[in-house]
Amino acid sequence: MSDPSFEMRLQRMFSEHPHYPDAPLFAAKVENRLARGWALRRVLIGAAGIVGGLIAIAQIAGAGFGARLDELGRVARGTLNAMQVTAAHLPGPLGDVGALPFGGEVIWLVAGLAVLAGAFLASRSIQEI
Amino acid sequence: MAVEADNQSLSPKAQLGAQHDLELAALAAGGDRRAFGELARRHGSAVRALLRRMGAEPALADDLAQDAFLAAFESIGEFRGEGAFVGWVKRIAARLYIKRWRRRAELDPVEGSDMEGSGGGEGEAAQRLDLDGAMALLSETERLCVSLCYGAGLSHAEAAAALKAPLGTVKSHVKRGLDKLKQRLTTPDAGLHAESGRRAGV
Repeated sequence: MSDPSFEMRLQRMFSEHPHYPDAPLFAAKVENRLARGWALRRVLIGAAGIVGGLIAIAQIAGAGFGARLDELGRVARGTLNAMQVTAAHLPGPLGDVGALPFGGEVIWLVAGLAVLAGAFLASRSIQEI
Repeated sequence: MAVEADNQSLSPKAQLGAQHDLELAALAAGGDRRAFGELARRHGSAVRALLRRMGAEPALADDLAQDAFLAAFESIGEFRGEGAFVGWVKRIAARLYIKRWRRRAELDPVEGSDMEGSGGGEGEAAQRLDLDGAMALLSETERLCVSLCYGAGLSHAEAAAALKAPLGTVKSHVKRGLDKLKQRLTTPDAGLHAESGRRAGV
């Protein structure tokens, strides 16, 4: 036969517990382990980024990326020249766009900055997770 | 107004100390480790005591309690605040101990170890509280089943699932455990007789 009053008493007794004198030390250990885990996670994310970057560089170098880059640069310069010529024929202030000092290097610079911004955002997102 | 002003003048540690568990859990869910440290400071003893009552040695109980808090931090997003924070961590800790206990018991754990407790009670805590002394009289499995149901707040079915044991087996362990505890806790002499009998080798 169950005895509800005894069971309630038992539950109350279980909810009472001694306060261990080393409670602050215990909490400090938990906090230290959390901090260690966090630091390890950041190191692993950093290491994964470096390894990924190295692999990407190796792949790019292996795929004759330099030659392709030159080719892309030529194409970009040709396109820009065509755009500048077209812009020069436009009426009014739009015609001045063709006169801007705007080369293929600017496109690569903007693309590089966009990649850096993307990588920064991705790393911040991972840290938030 | 005055209370708000008082809170603002407190140190960051004291401010955390003044917050409710739910507020601290919300801060911890946002990655605030100090807020979670305050929760560990507040409830560490309760979790450690439960593990010791389940039968863990003090050092193991402390390690598992730390593991339970770390696991709780990892899954703090799952804590909805429907029950007490300490109850949630206790259930995590109890499951960690069962995992460890099952690994140690290897085969059919609930049927496997029915040795009566030593009644000795390690450390100050066991002597200080009646319950700890009484729990020490239970067999390992009775002690585990009773503390899961009455300490960690699991239902019989949840305890059976956690122990991977039949529900009827868990119920009978709980019943036997309760009978022994009742005898010990309601009749002051019962425990003394049991203790002196054991000392005399009876």
